[in-house]
Amino acid sequence: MTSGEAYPTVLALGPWQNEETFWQALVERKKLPHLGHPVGHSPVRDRLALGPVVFAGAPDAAADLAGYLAFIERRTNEYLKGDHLRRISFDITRMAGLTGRLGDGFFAVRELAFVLTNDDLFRKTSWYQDGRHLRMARVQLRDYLHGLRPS
Amino acid sequence: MTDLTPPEWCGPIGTGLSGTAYGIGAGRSLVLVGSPGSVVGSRPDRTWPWIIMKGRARDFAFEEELRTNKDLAAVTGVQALDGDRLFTARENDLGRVLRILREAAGAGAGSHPDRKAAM
Repeated sequence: MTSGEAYPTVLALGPWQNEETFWQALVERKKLPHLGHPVGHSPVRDRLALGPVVFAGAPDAAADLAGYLAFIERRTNEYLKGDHLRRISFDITRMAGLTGRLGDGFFAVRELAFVLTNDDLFRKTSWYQDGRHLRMARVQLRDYLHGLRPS
Repeated sequence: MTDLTPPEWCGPIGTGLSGTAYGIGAGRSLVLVGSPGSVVGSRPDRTWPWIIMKGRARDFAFEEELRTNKDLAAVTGVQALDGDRLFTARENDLGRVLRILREAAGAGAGSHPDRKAAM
């Protein structure tokens, strides 16, 4: 897909290990699209999966894993910066315990860092922790979120 | 042809990443990492990055224990990735890798064969 017109205006981000607070609360209950692929375990999650469109044309991960991951990160960032996107819902539950290594929040940590360094994205983002919408002043919120990133 | 038991689970483990998990005991799994749709057994010469997970969390401590396992070192490699060191294995060697991991997991944390021999 080359035009952003058909992309949904909302998106869920967060660690994929968060079954209850990411998958169930944001994707299933709020019906928010996500960057995953359909895997056949849940009709709702499959229907809301943007992965095949956003990551179309990805290189072969088996031949070059680092190149593949760089492609996923680049396309994710391009997608987040697209004019179509009006609201991001970001689950930060258990984020502070993630290392950002593969299988341990690799992309969630990078997505958090990307949103925090982009004022426009930061303004578009609602933050959720333990199923609750985080409400605090912007400066305080930014400091809090910076504190969640792995050192 | 790779001769493996059916995986415990296959599913997403992160954006653009799919895992295929094989139980090794003590609640741990060997998880082969690939892109969505990657099928184990389709490419014997393929090299798979793999991690150890316990539940939904990566088991870094057990992975560190495994780095001193000489049997495992003979059939695995290591790929550096953004400060991480991922184990790798050729698809044809996965059966052997699983046997070694099940022995190591069965031995339990803190009871690596080298340490046992020294006791």
